Amino acid sequence: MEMENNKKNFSLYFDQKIYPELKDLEKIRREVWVSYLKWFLIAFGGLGGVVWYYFDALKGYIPWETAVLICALVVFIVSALLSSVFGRSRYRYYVEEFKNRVIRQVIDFFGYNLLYAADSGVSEHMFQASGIFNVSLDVFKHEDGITGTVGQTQVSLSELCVKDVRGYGRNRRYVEIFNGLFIVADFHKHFKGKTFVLTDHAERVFGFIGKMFQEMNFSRPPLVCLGDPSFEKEFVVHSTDQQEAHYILTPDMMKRMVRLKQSVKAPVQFSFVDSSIYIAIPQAKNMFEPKLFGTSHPRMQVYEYYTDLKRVFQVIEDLNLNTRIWSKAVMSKER
Amino acid sequence: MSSMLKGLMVQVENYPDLKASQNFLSLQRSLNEVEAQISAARRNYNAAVTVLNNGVEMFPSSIVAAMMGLKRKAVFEITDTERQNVDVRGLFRS
Repeated sequence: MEMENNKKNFSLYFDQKIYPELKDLEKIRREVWVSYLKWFLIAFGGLGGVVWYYFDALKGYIPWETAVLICALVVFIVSALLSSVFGRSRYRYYVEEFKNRVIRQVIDFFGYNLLYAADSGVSEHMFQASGIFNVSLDVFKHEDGITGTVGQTQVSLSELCVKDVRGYGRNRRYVEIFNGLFIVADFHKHFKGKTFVLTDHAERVFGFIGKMFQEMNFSRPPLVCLGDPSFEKEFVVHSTDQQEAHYILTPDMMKRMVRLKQSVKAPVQFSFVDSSIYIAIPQAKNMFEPKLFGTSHPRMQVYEYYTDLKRVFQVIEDLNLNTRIWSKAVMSKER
Repeated sequence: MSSMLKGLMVQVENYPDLKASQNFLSLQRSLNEVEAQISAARRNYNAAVTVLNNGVEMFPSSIVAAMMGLKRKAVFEITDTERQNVDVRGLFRS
């Protein structure tokens, strides 16, 4: 019932605020296609002319029909590549306008005090500070940054693509460290140490032998045993302070974290550093991207953005971060 | 302490001005904080005892435990007589 009401309210909001923006943006979307087509025709004409000039030289080596086919194919492919390169600046302009006008409106619908930046996001420093991924970074890209307050929780989140270059010479390759949604939020308790809640591969696969290997992981602080089998099955916990880890990871919090992992269906990882919680949710989908091919259901496309955002903000509620009944609320006010 | 907090909340319902009082809210948060810290310390202790007991009983660490004379320890359980609620009235009087 609540979902139907939300959908109805969003539908009204779409008609009033978002649809007029989409109508304006349709003109720019068409200009993108014209730009791509223009560059394709220029490249096709130019390359076609050059190939035609040297066509006689090819005729002697291969049959005429094959030569025509190969030349046409090569010219087509190269023209398409060139048009995608030269037409890209118009496409980027369209994406920027779309995000600033449509995505911003969708975020405003939720009524939280939030700022949106299409080409910005969580900083590399914050990503490293989380300590979830203990690796060097060579490629760090962020986009769709949202900062502000959700309920009583200060939040900063964005999409991240982080890669590491490994190997040398011919063996050099890019290894993906993280690709998905990264959330930094103000935790509802005050703490000083560092606690890492990571995906448990070793114990799940190798049982108690896996747990022994986890205890020998000297790149991380000591292992913490929390006594919750369903939680221990999904996550492995390392912390600089055993008691603080128990203070943060209450039975209720552990249940919520397991439920969150099951609902997003992805290997979510957390860290708790400097009274903040860091949440890394890997996902293949690139959220909030406009479709270049015209859609006959713009309402459904925008509703998809709305449900994506709703799921993101729901993480704050799922982890009960807006419940501020401990001393941190007092300390924040005193500051 | 949990039962004391619940009782306190029931009494507070009769005094709406008290509920909004900043001092009362601070007191409430402090009591919640104390309860959370005590619970964390208890669970931490019990987790450490469980690890020790597992080491004492499971092979091959049981051999080393027997040589060192280590024995099982009991986990921390609060008996009814030891459940002392925070005497907030007494604190304010003193």
